[in-house]
Amino acid sequence: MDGIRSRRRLYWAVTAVLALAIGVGSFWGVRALVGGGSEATAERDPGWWTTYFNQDAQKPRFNQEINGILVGPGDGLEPTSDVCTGLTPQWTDPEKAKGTVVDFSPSYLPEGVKRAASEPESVMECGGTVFSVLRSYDVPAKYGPDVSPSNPPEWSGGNFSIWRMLSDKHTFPLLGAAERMEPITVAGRAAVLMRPVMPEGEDYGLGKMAIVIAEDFGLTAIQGGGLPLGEFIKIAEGLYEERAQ
Amino acid sequence: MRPMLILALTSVFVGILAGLYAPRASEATVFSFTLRVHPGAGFNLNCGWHDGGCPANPSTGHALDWESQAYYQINWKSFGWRNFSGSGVIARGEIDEVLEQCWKVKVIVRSSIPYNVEQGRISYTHTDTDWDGTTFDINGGSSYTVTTRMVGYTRSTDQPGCMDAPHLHQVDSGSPWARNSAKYPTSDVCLPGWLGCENPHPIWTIGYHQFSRNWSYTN
Repeated sequence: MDGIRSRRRLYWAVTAVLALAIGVGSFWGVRALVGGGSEATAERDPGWWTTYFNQDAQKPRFNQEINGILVGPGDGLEPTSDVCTGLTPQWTDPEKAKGTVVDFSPSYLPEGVKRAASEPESVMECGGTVFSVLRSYDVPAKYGPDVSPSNPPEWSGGNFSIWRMLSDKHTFPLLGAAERMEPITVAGRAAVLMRPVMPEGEDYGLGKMAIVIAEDFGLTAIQGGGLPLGEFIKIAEGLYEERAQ
Repeated sequence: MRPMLILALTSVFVGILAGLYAPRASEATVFSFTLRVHPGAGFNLNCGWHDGGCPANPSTGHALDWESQAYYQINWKSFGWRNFSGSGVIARGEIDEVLEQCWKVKVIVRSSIPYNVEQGRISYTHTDTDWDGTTFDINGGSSYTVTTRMVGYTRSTDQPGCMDAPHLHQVDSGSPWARNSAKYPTSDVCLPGWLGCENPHPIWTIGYHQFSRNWSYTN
């Protein structure tokens, strides 16, 4: 009788230990699955994206004509206007830009994007003719509470500029790798796109992009980062649409 | 065997329910950081706080002009602090060169925590670089930790109307960068080329940063 009783006790003891183990296992398993255990998440190396930058920095850079616009790293690609021949350009009152061909008013800016605080509107003139308007914009970062290398921000945040100028030639210095330059059309105008370093799907604003648009009177250049490329293309298109009232 | 099976299934059920609904211990941690960015050229101050060309818009400006000769090196110099032990990478700097009326090299600062979020930028105007599109680590520690990195060199010339003589125009990206007005005055003007113009500051001493920036993140 004692042998049967002790075997039964052993049986229940083993059962209880097994039940406890199964219960604890289920508890932590569910916790890990619903995000309670950060150690269960496979994290990317925090600097994984710098590989793209380092590889891009090694790629060739050279001047090339795309859509009738000469772009690249070479000297002498800076836009020039004959209104400044023999004159020294002067910074001038931004009010003077109103109504000129180089003035602009973006009809589309992503939510939260606003004029940069530290870089004042920059308007230049030669002999009373306004030939260049530059405005900078700040992009706020947009990210969730659990932002991490595996869950990057939606927007990294950053800054870009819009610069419209008179120019006698369609040339502009762009310092990115030559393979990142490609033709694009913006509101029916020939333009050059310098794609960001990060590939599609990983592009949330890291690195510098540029869109250079050929105008009858010169050029418009959008340069910067902080947003995915698609947003910059919408901003560029919006320069040629009526502003919503 | 049946009681054992029932007990096992009950354990799984109770374990799953508890896993889903049992309150979690509070794990909120606040990570705090400070970054102090120092002047990146020579130690003679050419022009106090201003915007645009010196000495326009004094006192309200975000820029200081520093002595530099053509082709002299321009450095990122910073001290970083964090509220947890040890030292490590608190941010990464991305070097970008652009023509925006004048030539600029910008260092865009993206934090490690929160991950890859821009914390502002420092622009080095009238500067050229061989490192466009590259990145570097910005360090921080429980005591101030230094980062020094050459990011470019002073141009001999810039676009018409941009520069009278080679120098560094160093500017932040606005709030929440704080200007170190206590150490660098508004009124000083000692333009490059002025005879005997010397206006030295110990730019590499702790406390003589040009800008500082705090940020924090609660996890």
